[in-house]
Amino acid sequence: MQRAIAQHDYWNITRELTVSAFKLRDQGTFLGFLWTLLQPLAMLSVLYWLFRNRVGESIEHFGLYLLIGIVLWTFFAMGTGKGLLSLVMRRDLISAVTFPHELIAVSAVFTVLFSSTLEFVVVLGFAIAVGAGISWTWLWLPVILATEAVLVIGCSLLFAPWYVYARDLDNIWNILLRLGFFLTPIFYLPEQFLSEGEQRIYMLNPVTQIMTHARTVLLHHELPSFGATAYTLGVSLAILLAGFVNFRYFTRDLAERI
Amino acid sequence: MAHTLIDVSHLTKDFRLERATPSSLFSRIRKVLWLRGQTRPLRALSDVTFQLEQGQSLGLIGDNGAGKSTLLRILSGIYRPTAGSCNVYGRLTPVLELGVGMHHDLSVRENVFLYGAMIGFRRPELVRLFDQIIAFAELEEFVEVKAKELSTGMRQRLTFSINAHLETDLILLDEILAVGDRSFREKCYGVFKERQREGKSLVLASHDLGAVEEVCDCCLLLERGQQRAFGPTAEVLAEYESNSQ
Repeated sequence: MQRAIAQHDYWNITRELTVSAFKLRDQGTFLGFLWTLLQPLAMLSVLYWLFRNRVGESIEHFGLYLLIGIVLWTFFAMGTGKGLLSLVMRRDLISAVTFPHELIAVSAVFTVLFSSTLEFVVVLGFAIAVGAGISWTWLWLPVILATEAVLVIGCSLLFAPWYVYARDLDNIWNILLRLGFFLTPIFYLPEQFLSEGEQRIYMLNPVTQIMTHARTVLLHHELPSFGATAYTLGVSLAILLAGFVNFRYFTRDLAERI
Repeated sequence: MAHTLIDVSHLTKDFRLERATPSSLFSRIRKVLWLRGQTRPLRALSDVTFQLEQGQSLGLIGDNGAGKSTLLRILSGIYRPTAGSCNVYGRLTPVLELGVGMHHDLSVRENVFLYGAMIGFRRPELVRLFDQIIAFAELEEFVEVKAKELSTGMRQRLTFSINAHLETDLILLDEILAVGDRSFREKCYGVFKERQREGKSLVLASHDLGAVEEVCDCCLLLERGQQRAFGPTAEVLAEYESNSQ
């Protein structure tokens, strides 16, 4: 089958879908964009209050440590959640407008990435406020956030077509995210609870790696090791590639199934 | 010299109609194991063959359920053929459902940029054509109004206007001449005629035989997915009308 739909500007479509979704998200709410910031800050206050003495006393700048974990986890959880639902949410477009449908999932993730980037600005302000210092290593943060974006887009491209076929996936993924919240070092140090052997398996999780890298940069003012960076980027790119192949294969008859 | 724009050969399309049960994981697993037993086949198109030259316009006619919209969706690339082939040698604009793709909580201006991007416009082109798009849709007073405040006809006019400004070799239209009032229909005809003078093609699925006669050089008559006739518009329309009586 040969066909050339009007040549699409991928970036323009992604930008328009992202910006419009972002505008619509807080439209009509009293606090508007501030809701984006209040959610991680509310989580921070509760976790800080609960764990500051028992877990937090052995972690320098525990508040900042927590905030980095919360912001990065929120990006992963919300990004994959929105990405998973994205195709079904825009089913109207799929049966009537011919454009690369993976951009629906990608733009859903970009909407969350946009919020997370703004949250990271708050993280930097927080780092200065608590006396964690400023460092040139902060320049590495966009790379860390971009790596997480690759991972989240990959997961979204993996899950979004399957959600069209099985609506249970949303519930299954939410359960896994709930478990993941406790199985990633958001509010504790892995060495506080895990043996060395367990830590080796634990560190295979790319989200754990991403959190560790962000803390290395912001708290210790060092760059993450080359090996760890290469591993995280490699896993994220592999998931993106798998997601892309999965998306192309399982969306061939999407308009008939959705 | 005109070249072949559309080449459809022995095209067949089957759908599998599922029972109206929710798509749960359990029902999916069951379907994988006993797939054929859980669905009912429906042949929407059967062995359709025709060619269209660049510059010609084709009318798709037939009663409801004949397969016109399915054929348009296959030509657009939204559906895949079950058997046979369907080749389009050029850039095309599918205008299948007017109003779809508009976001009701965004303004008319924002929708022009969002919808325009999705159908293939680049942003500078949209900036340049924005006033023309709005003027064609006759929505100059509603640019900053949310799309949900517009009537259905206004939203359809806006969608059509955005599509009409995209320069492609072929426009696919599904029953869109029912849009808007008489004066807007006349403007649509004007666009079609201008495109035809420029050597572009149209494929128009419609029950409005007068419109098909006015716009199309040739016609394809479908009946329950079967190709009943293909040829010059007057001959095919005569056959359709004689069959209907």
